[in-house]
Order: sequence, then structure tokens, then C-alpha cells
Amino acid sequence: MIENLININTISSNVNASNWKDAVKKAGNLLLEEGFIEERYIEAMIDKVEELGPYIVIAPGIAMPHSRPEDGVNKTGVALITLEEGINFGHEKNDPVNLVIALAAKDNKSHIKSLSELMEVLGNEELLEKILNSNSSREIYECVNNK
Amino acid sequence: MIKILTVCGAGVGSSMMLKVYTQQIIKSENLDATVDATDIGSIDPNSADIIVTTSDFANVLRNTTAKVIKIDNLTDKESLRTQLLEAIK
Repeated sequence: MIENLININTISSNVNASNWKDAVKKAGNLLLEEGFIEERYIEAMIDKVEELGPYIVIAPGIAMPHSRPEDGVNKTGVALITLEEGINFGHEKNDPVNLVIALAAKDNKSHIKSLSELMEVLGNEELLEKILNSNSSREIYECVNNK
Repeated sequence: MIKILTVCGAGVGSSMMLKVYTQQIIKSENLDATVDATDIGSIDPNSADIIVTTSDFANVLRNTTAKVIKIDNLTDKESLRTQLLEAIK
């Protein structure tokens, strides 16, 4: 169930970010404020991209920054932010990014079912469009849970 | 038995999702195959028949005997199904 992965406090709409690092930080800060991660996890997510490239842009317009459990994850969760303006992550096909999903995974299993449910939602163009046009975390939360 | 590896940077995000999708395809198409997820740092590229990954890593994995399937859109399961069936043929 997606509810297990995402809560309304880790969703934010129309976030203003100056570049991709800022976007990752802002999504990461929501996880930090809710106790899902330690601060160092945010840097770890950024380092992964700098080390391995923009592979975290997993679909057109969607980035899923994440790092490994041992980089400071307290509990499994996801933060979801929509960006006021599209930001380039340097991906050859999927830029610009409008939606950032920061993933904190405590292990490599517990989140997978919920995460693939979230992907189903994001693969639905109509729902994705609705999420991107939402102006509050409540609206996004309802779209994500398909309510 | 066909051995499939899904690969991403950390081994907990996209590779796990690709693994779930691949498992669904194996099941629905009744394929004789296994699938494991791994990260780019610990992969032995010659230990699989087919590697499923994103474009960034497909370029890194050029020197392998495995067939490499590139996925640019993780919400597009159909593209994975088509490419997987093509690779197995």
C-alpha cells in the first residue's frame, strides 16, 4: 500500500528550486524533518548522481534520488515534491524534471511493493497530470492514493 | 534457465523496480528464467544472460557477453516486455 510509504507531511507542491541539487535537498529536507533520514543521507543522494550520472531520472519528468540504507536511513519512506518550474538533471531523454521523489529505503525489500504501486500511478498520464497541476499536498496525496 | 540481472546505482531503487516488473513478465509469459537485482559496483557482467538497466549504465556495461536491455522510462512496462521477449527469442 502506498499509504505505508508516503504521508502528507512529506509531500510539497510547487517547490521553487534553483537547480537539481537544490531540488534533491528540498525533497530530502522533508524526509529529514519527519525523521526518516539523517542529514548525511541528503548529501549521499547528491553524491550518487555526481558519481554515477543522472540515472535517477527514471521516467520523462520524474527523478527518484536515493542512496543506500547505510547512508543514514532511519526508516523507509518517500518524499514527493512538484517543482514550480522544470529543472534539468542532465538526462539525455527525460529532462526537464517536474516531479522529485526522494526515496529512503531501510533495506532492499520492504518498500518495493508500495514503490511499484506508486510507479503505476505515475505511469497513468491522467493521474500524473493531475499531480503536477495540484496546488496542495492534500490534493497530491489523494491523487497518489488514487482516491 | 535464463539468468536475468537488473542493475542500478544503489541496488535499492530502480533495479528493484525492474526486478519486480521482470518477475511479473516471467510469470505472465511463463518463461524459464530467474531475476536478481544488483548495483553497478558489485555486478559481474558476465554472470547473466540478460541485463536490464537504465541507459547510463548500459553504456558502462558495454563489455559483457550478456544482452543488455535499456530502459529509459520506468513507468513503461510494455517496453520492457517487448525488449525482454525479443532478447529471449
